[in-house]
Amino acid sequence: MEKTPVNIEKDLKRIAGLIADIRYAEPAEFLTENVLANIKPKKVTLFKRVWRKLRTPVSVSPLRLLPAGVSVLAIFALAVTLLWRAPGERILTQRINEVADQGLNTVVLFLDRPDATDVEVIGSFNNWSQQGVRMVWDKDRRLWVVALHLKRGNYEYAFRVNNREIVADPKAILHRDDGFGHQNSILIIGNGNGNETRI
Amino acid sequence: MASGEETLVYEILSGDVNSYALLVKRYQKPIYNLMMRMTGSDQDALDLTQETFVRAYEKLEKFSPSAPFFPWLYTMGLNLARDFLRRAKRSPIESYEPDDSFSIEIDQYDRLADQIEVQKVSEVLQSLPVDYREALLLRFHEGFSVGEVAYALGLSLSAAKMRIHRGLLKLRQLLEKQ
Repeated sequence: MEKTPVNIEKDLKRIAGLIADIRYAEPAEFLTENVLANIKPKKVTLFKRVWRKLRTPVSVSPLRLLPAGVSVLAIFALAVTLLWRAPGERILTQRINEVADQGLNTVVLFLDRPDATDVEVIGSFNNWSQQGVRMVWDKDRRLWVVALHLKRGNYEYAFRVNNREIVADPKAILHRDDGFGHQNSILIIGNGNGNETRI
Repeated sequence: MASGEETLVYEILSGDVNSYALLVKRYQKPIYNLMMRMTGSDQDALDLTQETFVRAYEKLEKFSPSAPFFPWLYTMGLNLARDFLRRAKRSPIESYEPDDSFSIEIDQYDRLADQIEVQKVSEVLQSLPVDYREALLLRFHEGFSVGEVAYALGLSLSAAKMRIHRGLLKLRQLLEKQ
């Protein structure tokens, strides 16, 4: 083809398109975990926290306000429901406050398996003991629920359903292969400030 | 900035480590590939990628959340890779072929020519000087604006434009020789 400026421009565009199509290699799966294992939650003063919150941009439109309004109503309804809950559940709230005072963090795990008759959570938090922590069926929310009180750190865990089936937490972002054909979920607990953290 | 990143950065600065996991997952692939192009070693690339993300996390307070995160991260990665090569007294490698860059399915003859061309461009690109190569990849592979390329490579806007244009011309010249 003759090298006119038009042809050269066409060539350059075609080459740019080919660069866009170059395939990138995938990094190892454990990369994110390794990064997270090497960083610590940032300590922030209350003042900084509030200041950043105020500086976080929020765009408001009527359509955005609608779900926000619904959420406020839902939270209000939930709060009313919780306040009128049985005394047992109020005890759970007290317990959460107690463990927070002891430097422990409360993490609540859920599993949506209405077909199961028995669910436990097993994991590195108790050295993968055969004796898992039994989850409770919440018939209102139709979920298996458990509250764990753990120190700051990284944990692996999985659910044992009906005492035989091992399943990873479908809500967890990070998983690790356990080398035996199962996936363990990863739980990273923050800085002991009572925040619940689950990824 | 990619959607929601400004909020993510604010959340990380407020102590939420998990928000950082999302940024790592989003950008680990281009950073890892940058390191592979620089070092040609999988292990070095993994180490440097990890170091880039850890360093970026440590310096996040200095980053302006309203600015694009990825060009800032890329600059940090590129500087770390250069420091690494300087310490090891090595030059950036001149050829690197990703293992999975050239897989062809038998019934896809139509795309065969395209794939061969992409492969050729990928190889020739590796022989360009780092500054040209990275300018081209940032602009056309990562979809950076010229302004973002300038920011990531520490250039003025006109220098970045020139770098991209000259890079393309050099690449075309090298491809013709093949």
